[in-house]
Amino acid sequence: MSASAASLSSQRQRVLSLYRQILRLARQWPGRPGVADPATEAAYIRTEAGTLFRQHKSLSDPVVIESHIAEAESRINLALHYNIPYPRMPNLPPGCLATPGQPKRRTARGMDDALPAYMKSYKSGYAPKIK
Amino acid sequence: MLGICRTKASLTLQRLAKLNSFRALSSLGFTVMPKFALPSSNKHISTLSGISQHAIQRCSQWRCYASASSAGLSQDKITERVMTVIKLFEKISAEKLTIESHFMKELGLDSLDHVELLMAIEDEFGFEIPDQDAEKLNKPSDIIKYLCEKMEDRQYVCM
Repeated sequence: MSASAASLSSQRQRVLSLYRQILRLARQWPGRPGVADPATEAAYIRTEAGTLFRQHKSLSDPVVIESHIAEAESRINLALHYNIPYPRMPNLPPGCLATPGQPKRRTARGMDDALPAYMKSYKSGYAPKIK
Repeated sequence: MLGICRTKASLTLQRLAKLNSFRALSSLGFTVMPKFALPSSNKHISTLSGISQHAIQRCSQWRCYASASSAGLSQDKITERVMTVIKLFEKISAEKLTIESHFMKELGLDSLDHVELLMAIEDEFGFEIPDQDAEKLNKPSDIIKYLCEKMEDRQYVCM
């Protein structure tokens, strides 16, 4: 009990420091000159982080929280590496989507499986409600 | 006679240091201070600019005080700036806001909003607040006290 409480509060500190790290990134986002406006991308980073963090703020299972922390860290590292804050569009495997002549029952699951771990918040049932 | 002039002039200089602008200090220093009034100087004092070189050197000790208070770093000014930043934060209703109101318990902010608020204060005052200090700042009065301490560490004066 105390172990899980301690792990929750240390997780809480990690989550808040991740949020702070993302906001500090947004403050000095360089953008890509000629391609992307730093102010627009910084605004995107702030709204995206705010939406996703608030969406999951009432989670209690430490394993799930850990996977979301990993998601946040991956997105931070990808954004820093490519200098692009938007998530990379995933590849859907062929034959996954239903076509007019060929209905498929496992489309939603196929799309979920195609999404990598750093897009965990975008999988079905989790679609972030952007206000 | 000389000794009296010297002490009078140095006292005036100290009083002048408490004024809010260096310009007033230097212009008054020019008129008030006779050229033998500086106790430690033996050098020739140039009057080309109207301000003695040693006035400038002596004034530089007090310069940071003068510019600090003119830059808005006295406790009242800090309080004013902090409260302005907090009022501009859209998730806080201005009616319930006092200096002692707790962010989470009385103003209904969650921890993410708290982080955003502290980022706004960092932007206003121009330096970063580390994580372990940030979690203790739960009221506007805590923030004001913390900022005063930080300003003192950097050798500004919190009056």
